[in-house]
Amino acid sequence: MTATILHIGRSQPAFVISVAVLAIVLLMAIFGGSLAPHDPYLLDPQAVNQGSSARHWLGTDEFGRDLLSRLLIGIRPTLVVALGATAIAASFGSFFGITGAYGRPWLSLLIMRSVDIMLSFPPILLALLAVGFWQSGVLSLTVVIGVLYIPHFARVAHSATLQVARQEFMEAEHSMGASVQRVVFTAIVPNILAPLVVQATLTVAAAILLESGLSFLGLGIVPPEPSWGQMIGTARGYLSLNPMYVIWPSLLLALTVLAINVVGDRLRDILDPRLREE
Amino acid sequence: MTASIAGALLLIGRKLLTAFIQLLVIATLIFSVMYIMPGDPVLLLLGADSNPSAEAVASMRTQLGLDQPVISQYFIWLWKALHLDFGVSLVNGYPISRYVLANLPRTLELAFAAIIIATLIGVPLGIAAALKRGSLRDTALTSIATVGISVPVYILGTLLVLLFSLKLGWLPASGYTDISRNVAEHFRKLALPAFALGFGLAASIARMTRSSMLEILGRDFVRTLRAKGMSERRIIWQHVLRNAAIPIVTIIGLQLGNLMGGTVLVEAMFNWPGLSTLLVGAVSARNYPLVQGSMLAIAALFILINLVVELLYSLLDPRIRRKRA
Repeated sequence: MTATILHIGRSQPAFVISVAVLAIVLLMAIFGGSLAPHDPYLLDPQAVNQGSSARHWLGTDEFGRDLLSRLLIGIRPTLVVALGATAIAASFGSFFGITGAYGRPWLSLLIMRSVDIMLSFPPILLALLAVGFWQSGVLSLTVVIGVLYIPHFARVAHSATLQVARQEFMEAEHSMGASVQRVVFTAIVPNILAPLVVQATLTVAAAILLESGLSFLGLGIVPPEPSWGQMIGTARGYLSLNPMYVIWPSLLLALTVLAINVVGDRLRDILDPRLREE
Repeated sequence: MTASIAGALLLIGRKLLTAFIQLLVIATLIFSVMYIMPGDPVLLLLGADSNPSAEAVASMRTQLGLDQPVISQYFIWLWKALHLDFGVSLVNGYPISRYVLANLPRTLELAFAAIIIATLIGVPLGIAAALKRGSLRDTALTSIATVGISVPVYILGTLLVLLFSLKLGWLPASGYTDISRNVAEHFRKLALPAFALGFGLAASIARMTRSSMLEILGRDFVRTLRAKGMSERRIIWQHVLRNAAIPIVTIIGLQLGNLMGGTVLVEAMFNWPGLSTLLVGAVSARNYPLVQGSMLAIAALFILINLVVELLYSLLDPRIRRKRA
């Protein structure tokens, strides 16, 4: 066991570092509030836009709030949105994808055409349309982003199901008179899980980027609750005054997304060797 | 010959029909979002807290056509949108089409500048990496490309501003100067947003160029050319690169969608007065007719670009034409 871990560590340092980064990010999301050295919402007019000091390790923001504390709690809304949205997208998307591959012809035509049309628009545009008319916040962002990524899962589930459906054991299932539910849950779902897991990692990264992009524009997580994207957006107004204010959240966000992408690439190689060439 | 012309016409017709349906769907979506929205849009527009008078509510309702049945509102809206009439801005009563037409070319300019920068950076780097596969240079370039794909465009943009305008003072941090007023200033202000937008695309182009080159380099005909004694330079430039070009062009085309999504953030952060700035401003100000108009304009532009890219492919690659027609 130890030898295996050492081997992976030596042969794939990027993967190991990425897993460690993600573990830290996850811990921050869970325990961030109790690790924060200061109250993340406490205003201090005496200590506005300060650099790092013994009292405020990473400095303060434009209201004198402690940056480290806000960074520690700032990942939670982003991660809740990203994971929640991915869960919504994965469950509905797989359902539509399998139905599209297995349902009646008119139904699958309807589903797959709608998927094509939705996939043909950049998600951030549709997200802007939604947040433009509804109020934003963690719940609505989760639902909106989740709905936007349903087509991605539907397409993956659809093509994977079609591949499974061609195989001989499916013919056996059918000839033995297995019910549709039985075929779907014992034969299809386990066999299309690998590409769906890969799609899920991609979607988590994309959802993080989308949420932080919207928050960056001031249309996502509502202040005073912080999120990294929103902090970057705010910090842009204080670039010359306090450059480190923008650097910290940028660094953390970029590292997180990079780590997810590295882990996702590796997962794809392990789970779905057919995709390796792409 | 006539068969192939008929096939081509059929293909173009099918693509045009798809584009039209896409446009209709997005238009319907844009229209209906306003009605799915909880609460009365008129109260929201006038500000429910300010207790608007009954007359003000009624006149706003008439002004927006909300006193008509939803179905006829929809067709009236669609008919007007077809004629580029998106109504007037709620803020100042200006026709929205005027805003859209003024901002459209600036978005196009930014997007094309980004594509040019991305191609100029991405293709040579991809070739350089592929020619020295497995070397330190290859590893370094591939890692930079992975980072480039992961770094969000607004982080890159912010870092560029920090470095090139605040630290070095070479380029302006944001804004726009019309080209008719000052050509040099116009391009100086275009540089940072175009580079920020193009960097991620450059990374994907570099990756695609590398893998596409490697694939072609491994083909039998390259071995034959080498065995014939053709110079390596000629093999690369005349044969490998030409064959590797189609997937590279494809990735550029496919990434156009991401690029249009990226303009939303880049325009907003650099105050580049394009369609996305118009849209984001309208969303923040809850200026609904302007949201609808600018959104529809962006969607139409996007669909049009995709249509052109797909038609270009089928012209470039006879295999695609034959397969689809």
